Amino acid sequence: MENILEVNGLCKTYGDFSLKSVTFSLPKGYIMGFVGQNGSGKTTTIRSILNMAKTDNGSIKIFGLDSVKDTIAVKERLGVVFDSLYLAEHLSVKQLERQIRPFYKEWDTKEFFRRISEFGLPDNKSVGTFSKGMKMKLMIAVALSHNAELMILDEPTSGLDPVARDELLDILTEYIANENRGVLFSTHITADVERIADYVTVLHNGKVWFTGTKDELTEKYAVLKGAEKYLPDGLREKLIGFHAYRNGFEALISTDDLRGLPDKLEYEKASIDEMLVYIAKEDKNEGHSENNEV
Amino acid sequence: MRDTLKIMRFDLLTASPFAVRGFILVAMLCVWMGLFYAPITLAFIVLGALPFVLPLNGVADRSDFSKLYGVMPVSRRSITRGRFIYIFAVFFLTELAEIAFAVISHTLNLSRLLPDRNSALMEYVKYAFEKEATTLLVVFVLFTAVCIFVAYMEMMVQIFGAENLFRIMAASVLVALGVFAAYCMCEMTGHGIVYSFGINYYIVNLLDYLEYTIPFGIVLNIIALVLCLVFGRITARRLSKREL
Repeated sequence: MENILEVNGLCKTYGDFSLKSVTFSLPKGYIMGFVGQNGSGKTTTIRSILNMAKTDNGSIKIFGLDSVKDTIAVKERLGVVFDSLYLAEHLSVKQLERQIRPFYKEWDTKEFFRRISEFGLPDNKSVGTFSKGMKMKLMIAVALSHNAELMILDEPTSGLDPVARDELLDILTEYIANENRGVLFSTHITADVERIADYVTVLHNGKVWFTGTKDELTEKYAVLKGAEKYLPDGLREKLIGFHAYRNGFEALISTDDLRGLPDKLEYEKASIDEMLVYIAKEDKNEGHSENNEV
Repeated sequence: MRDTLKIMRFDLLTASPFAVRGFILVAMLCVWMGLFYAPITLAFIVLGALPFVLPLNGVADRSDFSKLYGVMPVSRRSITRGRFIYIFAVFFLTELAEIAFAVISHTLNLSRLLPDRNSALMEYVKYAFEKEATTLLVVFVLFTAVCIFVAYMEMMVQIFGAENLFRIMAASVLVALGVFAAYCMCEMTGHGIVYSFGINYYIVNLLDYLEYTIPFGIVLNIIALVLCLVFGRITARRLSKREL
């Protein structure tokens, strides 16, 4: 499989926060959910991919091109959606189209206005008056109108109502129908990832905690419950985010460690949300967080 | 160069909604005054062009253009260079229009049509239409001063941030006063750049003649362009070390 995005050993330090050798790749034709709690380094990684942040180490290849040396060629083929609008808020959609059009060789004005009309956006009102969902759609219309091959979305669904979120996910699903494209979207709303992502990269404290297919992730971990006294020797150390209650405990466990467990202990499939919660608890158990501030 | 032109167009479209009406109003007022009463007022059209430049940094801050600059397929150097050439271009085109109207004004001398030709006020008006070189000199000097000042402020704001605008202005005024004071001291002690008051006076007299005023204006234009390019280069170099 050909990778549309490859991040290798990305390191970046901002004061107390650092990305530590972040490595993952996204094959063509797939959607990757980029998840992690706030401050885990998702936005810094995306800013590095976009060459907006200077990296200390590592390399990023997009379409096989270097993200720094070939940044202009790469951006011609990239569509980017941030959590807030980055276009001139006092201009109307028509004026914005005139403003942005010359920068993209493959800009398609007809396609842009078709999308604007499909999304139900008024083309003569200043975009600053748009709702968050409308602004999101406008950024997507811009991304789709220059035939972007890779769409990068940074927290696109945060602050959106359920209907707008659903619409956005549908648009991404439709977009990825072309197998030469790819989508990387960061979010802390894991339900969105579970719904549309094929691949997942979980970032925690600036490190990649997991990267692979969504199915691998959901099969790799389970939530273990039961009375602490039934835990076999040596297993306690392998548990992630161990939390003891009056009548028992709960923790995340690798499915490799499930073999030979006593029947008194129960386990069930872990959702991505639960995984994030348990790895955060593990930090508390260890009494530290390596990246407290971003 | 193509990217620079795209950025200039981008800046023009960004500022236009704030600038066009005000500019037309100022231009109409100045042209009317310039055609009938005092051609020298045409030089002030350049001030009406200020809104084509001044709102740009505010819009960029409010609309998060740092992200847009990170997304668009254009280099940061082109973005900065485009802004400084745009500043020069806006004022230069205004200056060209001013020169055209100044020539028309002096050629037509529409003050002839005004009533009360013998009033005291009309004496001043007649005098204002006598020296075309003076009108052009004011056009050139005002254009150069405004263009260099705006480009300089743009450089300072981009390097030190809009939040430090008042500190930048205060520091700049102090530096300008210092330079002026040093110049005066040099002149008074006889070691000035323009060696003596006699030469100074001689040069000023020459500028009363069109054949000297026009080359002088061209030199001023070249100085303004070079300074805009230099400020742009300094800014681009400083900004290239920063993240978006």
